[in-house]
Amino acid sequence: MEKIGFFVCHCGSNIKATVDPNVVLDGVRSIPGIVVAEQYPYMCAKTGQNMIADAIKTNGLTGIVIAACSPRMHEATFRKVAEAAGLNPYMVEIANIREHVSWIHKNKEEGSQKAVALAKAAIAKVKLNAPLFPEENSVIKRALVIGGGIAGIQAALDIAEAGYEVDLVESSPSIGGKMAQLDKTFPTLDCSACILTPKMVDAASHDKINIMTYSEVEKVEGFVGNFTVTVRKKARSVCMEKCTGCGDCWNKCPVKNIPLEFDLGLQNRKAIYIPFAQALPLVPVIDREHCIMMKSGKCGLCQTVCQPGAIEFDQEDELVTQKYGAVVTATGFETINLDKFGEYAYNDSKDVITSFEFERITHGAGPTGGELKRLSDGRKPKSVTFIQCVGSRDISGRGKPYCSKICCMYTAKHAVLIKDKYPDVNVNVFYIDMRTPGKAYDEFYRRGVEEYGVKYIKGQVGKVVDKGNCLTISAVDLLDNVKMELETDMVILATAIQPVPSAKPLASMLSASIDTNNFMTEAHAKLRPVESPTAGVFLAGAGQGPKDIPETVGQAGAAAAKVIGLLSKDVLLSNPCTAMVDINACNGCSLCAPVCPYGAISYGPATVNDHGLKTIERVSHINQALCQGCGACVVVCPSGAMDLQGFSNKQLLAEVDALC
Amino acid sequence: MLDQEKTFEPLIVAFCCNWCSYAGADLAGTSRLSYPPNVKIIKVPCSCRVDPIFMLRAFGKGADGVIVCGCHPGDCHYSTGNYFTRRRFALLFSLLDFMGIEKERMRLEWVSAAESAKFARVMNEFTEEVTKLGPNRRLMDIRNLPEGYEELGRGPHREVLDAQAPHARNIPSVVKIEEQMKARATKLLADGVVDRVLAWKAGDHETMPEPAFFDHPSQIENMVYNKYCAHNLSKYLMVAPWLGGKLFDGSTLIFLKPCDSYSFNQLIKENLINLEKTHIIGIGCGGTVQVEDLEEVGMWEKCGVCTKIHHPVGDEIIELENNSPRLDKNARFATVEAIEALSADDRFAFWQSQLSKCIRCNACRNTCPVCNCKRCVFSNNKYDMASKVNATEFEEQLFHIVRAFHVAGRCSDCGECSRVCPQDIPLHLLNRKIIKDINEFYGEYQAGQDIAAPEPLTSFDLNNDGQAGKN
Amino acid sequence: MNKTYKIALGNLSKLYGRINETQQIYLPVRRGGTLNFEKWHESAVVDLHGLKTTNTPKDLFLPQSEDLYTAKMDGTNIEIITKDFFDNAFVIFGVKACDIEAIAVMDNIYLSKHPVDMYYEARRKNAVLVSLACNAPKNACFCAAFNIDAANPKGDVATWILGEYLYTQAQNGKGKAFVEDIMGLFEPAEADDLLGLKAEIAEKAQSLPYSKLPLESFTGENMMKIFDHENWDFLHRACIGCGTCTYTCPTCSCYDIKDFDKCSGTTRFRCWDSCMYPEFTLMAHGNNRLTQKERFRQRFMHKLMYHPMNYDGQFGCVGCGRCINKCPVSLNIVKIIKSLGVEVAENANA
Repeated sequence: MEKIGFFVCHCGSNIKATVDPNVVLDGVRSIPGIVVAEQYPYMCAKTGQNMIADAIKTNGLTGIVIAACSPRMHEATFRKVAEAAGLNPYMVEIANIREHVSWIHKNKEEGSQKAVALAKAAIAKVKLNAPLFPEENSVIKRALVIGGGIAGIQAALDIAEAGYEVDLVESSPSIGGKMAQLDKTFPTLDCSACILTPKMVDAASHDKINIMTYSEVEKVEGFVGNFTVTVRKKARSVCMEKCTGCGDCWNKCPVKNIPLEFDLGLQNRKAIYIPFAQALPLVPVIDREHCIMMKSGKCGLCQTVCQPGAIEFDQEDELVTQKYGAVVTATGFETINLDKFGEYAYNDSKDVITSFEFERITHGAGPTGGELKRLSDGRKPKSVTFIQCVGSRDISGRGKPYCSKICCMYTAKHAVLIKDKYPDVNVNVFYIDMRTPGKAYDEFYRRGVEEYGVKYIKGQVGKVVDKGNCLTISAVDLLDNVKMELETDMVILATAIQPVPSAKPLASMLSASIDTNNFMTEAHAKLRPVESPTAGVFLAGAGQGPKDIPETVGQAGAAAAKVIGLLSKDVLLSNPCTAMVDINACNGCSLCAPVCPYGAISYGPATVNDHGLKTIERVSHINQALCQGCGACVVVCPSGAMDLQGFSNKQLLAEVDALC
Repeated sequence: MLDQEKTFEPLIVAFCCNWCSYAGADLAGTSRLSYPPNVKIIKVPCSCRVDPIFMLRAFGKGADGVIVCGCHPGDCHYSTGNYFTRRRFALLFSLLDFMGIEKERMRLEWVSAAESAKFARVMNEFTEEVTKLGPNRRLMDIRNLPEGYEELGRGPHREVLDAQAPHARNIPSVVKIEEQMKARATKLLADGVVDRVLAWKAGDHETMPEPAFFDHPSQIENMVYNKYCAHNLSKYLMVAPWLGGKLFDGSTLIFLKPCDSYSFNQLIKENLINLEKTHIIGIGCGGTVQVEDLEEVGMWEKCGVCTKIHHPVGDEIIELENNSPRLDKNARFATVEAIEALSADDRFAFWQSQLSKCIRCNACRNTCPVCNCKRCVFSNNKYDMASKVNATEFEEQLFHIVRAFHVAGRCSDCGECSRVCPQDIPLHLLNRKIIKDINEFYGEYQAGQDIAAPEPLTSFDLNNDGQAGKN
Repeated sequence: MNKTYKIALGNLSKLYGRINETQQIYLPVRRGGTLNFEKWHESAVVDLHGLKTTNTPKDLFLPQSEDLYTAKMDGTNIEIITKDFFDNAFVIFGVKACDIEAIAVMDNIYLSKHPVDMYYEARRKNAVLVSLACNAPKNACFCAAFNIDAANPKGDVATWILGEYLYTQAQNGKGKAFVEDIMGLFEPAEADDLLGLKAEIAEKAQSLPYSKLPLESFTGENMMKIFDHENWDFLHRACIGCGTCTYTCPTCSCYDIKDFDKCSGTTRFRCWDSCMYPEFTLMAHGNNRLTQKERFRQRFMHKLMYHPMNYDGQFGCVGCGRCINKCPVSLNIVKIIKSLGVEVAENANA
């Protein structure tokens, strides 16, 4: 039989003025189980706390209810009091008779009666409370960063600098990501490689950072503080330790004409290659699909010329399994496919290119050596036209509904770059809205218009036609409201960006949620923007949403700070108010997992003992370390097998019953 | 009368999410913004923790109004909880409205921690509205035989019922695939591909075939397939020994009519079928008939409006010679629409008249493929819900609401619940109403069609749920 | 021989009204598409021509749920508020021969041995049973198998519909008193008028497909043979464990006693239970019948073996045929009787 202590606080006159404590005490005194019913002017004061502690000890109370201010105010205080007096802190309930009663109801009779009702509900609940104990989980002091672009590099560096081991996994042969492909960066126009390469070198040479390029995450198990991740290191066919990066192999390789991914196919590479000159690690990979040796067993030229003997045709994929306390996803973005946008003639004309292709063209190491040329005939264009929002802010379903955010600024950058090198080239930009918030961004854009004479036309392009020696653009100028035709030599499309396709399977491996556009979802859009809803998984870079370099670096640093905060702990205490499965009632119907934002629910076999009849059944399992106690799974469980500790079905129904 | 109205003080229960609305209520207190003392708040961690049963229970125990308050969409402390709340209550309110229960008594509101003024305003408005409605009776009375009732079978109710009556005008197509089925069953058993066959066996009377397992080719001669084989076989293959007994280790051949195959696919989706040990043969169906006193009385309503001619799952298919859809796909909603068109009082009278016949035999539940809980919430002790009874003042009143709601989004509209009801209560109309709402609110959805498709109540659409969810 | 009276069918509502002045009258009412025994009132659609109600008259003697008492707790005081026994005279009108016989089965269970069930007894004492002969028994009827005469229903008062008249005969003292009370509405009639009808009914009942069933083997000495019979393995297989057969059965009489917290106190009530449910007689150690086979067997063993063994050969089935019509998966007691009755008889002969 429970022994409940009930305490009414006057809160000076805050409560007492409109709620009669004696009425409240009389209202609950005769409820079965109430053995103490007391009042005090300030329950939260030391004397009040002592009163509660004494009552717990003297009467051996099994639960207490304090009718006082909001639990948001002092629930923690009273839980500590209970704990110190030897009562489990979760055996405390608060009846909120200040914020919800005395401060809003002026009629003392009505107020007192409502206070009695709330007190009864709290008593009904506390009788069904059960002692709860947080679980302790140790923290593995190692972090995994997925994605070796600027976001991943920055996060890895920051975490490593704090003294923790970091593994940086990158799927391509080199770290560097999209930033390595860029020529200049806005709004300062400093060279991208100049600021990125030192970071790459820092990361590669850091003794706490272990870089795994040409590698992909294969499997993730575990939870915050204790993830077990398997990474597949794809066979590079070149021994990392032996290779000196001399280049003899790729110079000798007879297989040419393979489009170089790094240059978006605008230049070719060999079957054994490095993606770009500053690649890190500076170790080539053999493209097994095109390598003659791999296909027919005849050739082996590279092996012949390699003096250190680094070429290993028989290498196999290697699976590396490691434990981590935290994971940062920095998977980045790519541009969307433009097949559905026939009006821009992207697939028909070599002179219609995407902005990313333009980055390579304007880049000194790019296909034209940095010279502005038409890719069709090598002619220098007299006029270049940019088209904004290609596939962005598109609700037709062909593109993406969101703003890709970076296009306004990089187009402004491109326009200025052209004008700066070739003041005689006409530059037109078709835009819908100019979006230039950011430090020194709008100034930069205006400089393009005012100093460089870039012409901005508000309007949408209806059609681009390749006439051979030039392109014609049909568009509407929305400001003058006229249809217009324009001849130009080159069209550059500000193509929408989207998360890389591997983000989706990765998110599902991590039980991290993604939104309808496959961007990683944050735990809270405003208050927890660098955390995934899944504890221990953090977000950096454009995989979470379109963003530019400074934002990416800032977010990566923030994610790193969160990781460092987590890894600095030796153990994590879990919130004990978690969901709980009665495996005797669960039939494994799997309705609960889809609603869990934290991936805390899994299914597996368990021995179910129904009055001695033992069977092995597939049932739901809650990972207590991941569960945050929202209760979504409880309500979708039709049989009531799932319940929430601290807010159980019976507790809430008891409150309903007590009030009604 | 006026005096009575004045003295009526409604009891209002408010479920408030800890992070937003409860804090909003606290702030209302801090700001001394008053609202009627009739409102009693229960704190929940998230609005998604509010089980429709809590709301129904409050009504059942005497609350006159129930309001659920959560964070604004996009602001959920747990990211997505309130999106589930939004769909869940949009459907619940619509279902209760369909049953003629005043939807003004229930509300879902988004109140942030800063919106103390909104909290007070909402509570003032809601209390006023509920006071105008007067005491809550309908939810308590939905299954009670009204005293001195009018014969409710007349007028608009009659039309609704006629639409449900056996469709004498619909003639089932003759089905001539029994021999093919037998041949396949015999072959698969003889070849050892399967260890047993689940089909129908001849009863002692032509109209009385029953679901049966066949373990040996020699038994196949007793197998039948005709217009009397209405039973949905799906549930017999559930992995967990549903009614006790031993787990079957071997593999099974199951024959599925088109409508059954949707149920079966839903069970596959819910991981309750061991697919590796199941061989599925989809079979054509020409419609099944209702039998009374061993005589055919007409086609089942569910077959009269059936549109399911394809099998979403199956290893083989044995089709009828002339397979064509019988009706356009929305014809099945005609009766639901007819009820929707009635006044709230008439809707309530209709359902009260129907549900008061219920004897709680649980046939609807036990036959339903998606009522697949090991122990139903009405049979276990998880919610303190009395079972086995049909009594006044009990949550028992809520049985049919909870039953329909627990299969929301999972019901494939196989119509078995109504087919088996000994009191001929058109129970499937409750489910069909939910299906219709889901289609209208969240886009067309057919349970059992695609096992990869997210279910309407365990998924959400960030952009499009708002308008539909608003009550 | 009791005197015979008749009343024009057109005047029946007057008769119901007259009875209703002094006591409640329940009779087959068609409502919401279904025929059930319901309390009469002026706009009720009475249908005496329907064959079977879905609900059986047992609802009126053993209601689906019935409050027993309420306990209120105040501090350490507990107050018990008991419920008075039912004490209103009522009439059930239009009960068919099978259902009348079912009441006799129930009487045996609840009244023949001590302690008698006081709640049942109170209702039973207050009731007048007015039976009605079945003019048109149908295929699912098999009362004849149990030697129940559909043409001569028992009860306190028996009635027949012949042409445009309802004929009536009191069957006992209680019936006589009842008839005398409403005599003013009747006119005298000849008992012989009914002979043709009765012969016709008897012939129909005997010619129905299930009118002869192999019941001979269901005797005490075969109990274990039947209990252990292998046929149960497939007989039960389709059963989905609902309670339709039990709740629509006129003789199923099991109940459960439960407490319900109404906040104002805890009410103890009893309600129908079904041996088909896994929760039936659930105890702390679990259930004593773990599989549906055992539950299914229990029900039919009870109807066909245990009840007759306890009550002098009276079967627990009256052949009303409701389970044939209502079972969701086309199982019914006839299938059981045929399967086991024939095999056990054959084995005995062999």
